[in-house]
Amino acid sequence: MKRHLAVAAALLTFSVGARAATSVHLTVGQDHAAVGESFQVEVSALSDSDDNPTNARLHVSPGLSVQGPNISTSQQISFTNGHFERRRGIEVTWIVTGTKPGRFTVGPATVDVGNASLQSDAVTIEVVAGGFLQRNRGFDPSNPFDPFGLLRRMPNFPGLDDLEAQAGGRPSAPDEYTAAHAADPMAFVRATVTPTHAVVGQEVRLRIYAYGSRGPFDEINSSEPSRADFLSQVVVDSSYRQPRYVVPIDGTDWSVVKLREVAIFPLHSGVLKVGSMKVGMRGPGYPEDGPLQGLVRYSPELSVVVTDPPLAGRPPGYELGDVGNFNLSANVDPRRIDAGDAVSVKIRVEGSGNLPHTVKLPEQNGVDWPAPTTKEAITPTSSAVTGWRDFNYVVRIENPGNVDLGEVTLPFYDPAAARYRVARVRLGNVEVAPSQKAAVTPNAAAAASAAKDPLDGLGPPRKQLGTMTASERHLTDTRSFWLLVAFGPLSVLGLRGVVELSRRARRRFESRARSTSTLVKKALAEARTAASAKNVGPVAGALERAVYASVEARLGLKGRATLRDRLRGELVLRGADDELAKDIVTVLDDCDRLRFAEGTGLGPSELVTLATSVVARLDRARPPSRDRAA
Amino acid sequence: MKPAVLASLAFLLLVAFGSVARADSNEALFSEAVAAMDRGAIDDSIDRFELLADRGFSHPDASYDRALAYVKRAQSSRAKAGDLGRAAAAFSEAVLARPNDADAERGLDRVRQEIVRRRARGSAKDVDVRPSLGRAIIGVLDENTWAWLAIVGSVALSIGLVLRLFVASPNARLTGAVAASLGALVFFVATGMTFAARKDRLDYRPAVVVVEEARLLDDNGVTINGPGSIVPEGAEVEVGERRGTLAHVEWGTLDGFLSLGQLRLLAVTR
Repeated sequence: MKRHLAVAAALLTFSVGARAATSVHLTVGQDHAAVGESFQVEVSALSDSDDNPTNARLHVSPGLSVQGPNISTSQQISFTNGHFERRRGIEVTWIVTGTKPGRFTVGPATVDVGNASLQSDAVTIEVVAGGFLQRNRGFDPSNPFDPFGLLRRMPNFPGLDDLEAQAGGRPSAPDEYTAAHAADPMAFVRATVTPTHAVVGQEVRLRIYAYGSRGPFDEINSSEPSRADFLSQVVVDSSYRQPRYVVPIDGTDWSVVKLREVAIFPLHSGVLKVGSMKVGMRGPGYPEDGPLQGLVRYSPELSVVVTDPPLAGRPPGYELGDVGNFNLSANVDPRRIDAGDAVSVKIRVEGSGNLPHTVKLPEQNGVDWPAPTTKEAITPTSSAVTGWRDFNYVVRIENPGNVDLGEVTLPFYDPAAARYRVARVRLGNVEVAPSQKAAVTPNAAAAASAAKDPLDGLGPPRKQLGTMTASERHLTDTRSFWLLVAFGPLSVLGLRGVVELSRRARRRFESRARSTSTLVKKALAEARTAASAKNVGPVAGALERAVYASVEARLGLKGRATLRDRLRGELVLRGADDELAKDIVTVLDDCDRLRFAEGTGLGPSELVTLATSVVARLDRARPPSRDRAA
Repeated sequence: MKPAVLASLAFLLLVAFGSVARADSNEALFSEAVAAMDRGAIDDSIDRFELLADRGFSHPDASYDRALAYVKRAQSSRAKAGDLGRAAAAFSEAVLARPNDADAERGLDRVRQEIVRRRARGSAKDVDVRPSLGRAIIGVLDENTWAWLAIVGSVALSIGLVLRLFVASPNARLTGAVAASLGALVFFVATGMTFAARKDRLDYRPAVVVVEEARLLDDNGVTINGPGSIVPEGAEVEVGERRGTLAHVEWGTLDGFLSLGQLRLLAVTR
């Protein structure tokens, strides 16, 4: 881990002339370095005179190489003892690299102010052989006023990260930096929330890390992840002072740094979102997506499933959001007062989690607890948000006697134990002597105010739960209501429909009964009946009707109006095959014979059979085409 | 006896005793809350009444006492913002559960008057506004009355149709046509109103504003400006759709979104 050990080397104050109030500070970012490892040396020279410090020089021992300086102007304004004080000067930065092991002196730095030269103190730094010393960077490349950020951009200026890489040391990264897979071959941002399921008010840790496969990088032009549904306590607000590690992912070495760590407390239940964070990654191996943008990457959106703490076991007075692990302590002073006077009660809530904003007070008649003043100290650490909050009450006690102030309680939900707990502290007794003051009695004062308060006279509270009025039943909640409402009209209309349908069916049946095919079938049936009864006359008549009706229906030829001699030809012309035409003529001829010359043709039964066959074949006959008919 | 039967019996006993214990616990908690109010421990009393409400225990007397506790705190030096709004909500809940509770109605009126007085601007109409036209028409009759009218319309329509469609006599057919027309009118209007009243009952829930002022937001969560865009403490609104922490509310003829934290939803029997 990088350390940023600021060594304030010197504060030189001069009492005369231009040097009367000029100070020169020398600061070195670390007290140890490895051979080849660079570190920065900063000198701040401020003067309240009109002469600006100039011509900064740095003296170093042999064994150290110096690059730079980078100089920027500086101005400091302070308000002291009722008047403003303005100081101007310069900030000078050098990059110093140890070239061999040993203890070396850095400084003093010298600046010229007017005609005089001022020096800072010197510091000693130890350069060790080999290895990589983890340290804080001590500068922010994303800061345009940071000289190193600019120096790194200079041509041929050695990158510190390159030097780190050359040093070859590699501290092991904590497990939280480990990523299972790389989301991008060059760079990606990973975000986690722990835990992912929480109750309202429970601390959840949001951590965001940046990974780069092309060596070290710096954070630039980032935006914060949105978290509107959470209360936040920032633990890490920038990657500036965060350690850099190298971790293997998918067989490749990745540089990783923690960008943010925030303790977030859900404000309500639901699936709550944490927005993505935009990160610009700037480094020698990373192409920029735009001027001063760096290589832009986004963290994934995250969600936390938040529920209310369980209702089972919830103590009275539990305030939603009071989640953590807390203790109560109290101090009451003085313990002896006169009636009508007040005691100071200080209650401290201490612990980890979402520190409650209220405690449950032991109210009673004659003891007035006005609103408290509060004081707090909350410290987010790497593991939890801890701290305390003081509630200071000035409690007025009206009634004389040995008054037991009772017990202050704080119900809270302990997520680690997954149950409610109640922190308690007893306040003890206060000896209240009868008051010597002639005061208006409380009852008289209350009576005086009662006349003015429109809310008085509402009556006493109800001591018992009375009988409940049976809740109104709604007709519409039963399905039978809708059936009942719809049934009447629909059933009438349905009945009418049924009647109409049956009427239509009867008509259709009658119409069908009158159709040709029905007539033919009926005639054939009559013929069969007559044949059975050996009644030849009706057989002939019925068969003629059947055959003529079929011919007319199928071939469109009115057979009765056609001469028998020409009938066969006409039938063929109309689409009947010759065999069928011949049979039709045969049936008709035999019918004549049957009627007028019995015994010369087919018998009645045979004739019925032939006629039935003819009718069946006529049913299959196709009507003539127009050409053929013509 | 078979183990399965024994296990079933044990389960039934557990369920029975569990529900009895829960009922006892609610009544005990109510008594503790009343006792706390008597000894001047108003916060403690409110905590216990609120725990009852959190448990889903709804009773007009518990709501009434909760309202009194909030009124007492509002009158004390430990008054908190929204106490009167919460008192109004509790009184409203008591009136909803027991419509003939005159004390609760009087308490509700007084709390609303006090809210208006403390706001020292506007009039009582600021808290109590006229409902929208649709809600006013639906509210002319009770849902069950609309339902009975729908049944009457249905019967009249049916008889009219029978006469018109199945009877040959011209007089009967004329009577049928008239009855069917009137019946159809009543049937369709009353059925529509019944449906709307039912939907209103099921889709909307009454709530009371429990902050000093609640500003209506539009669909995009932007504050609506203009007259009537601020809903005062104690105002009763109808809560419909919910989007996360926001709830769509109708307040008189106005509508918009309010944060659920600004509202106290009333316990009502559906």
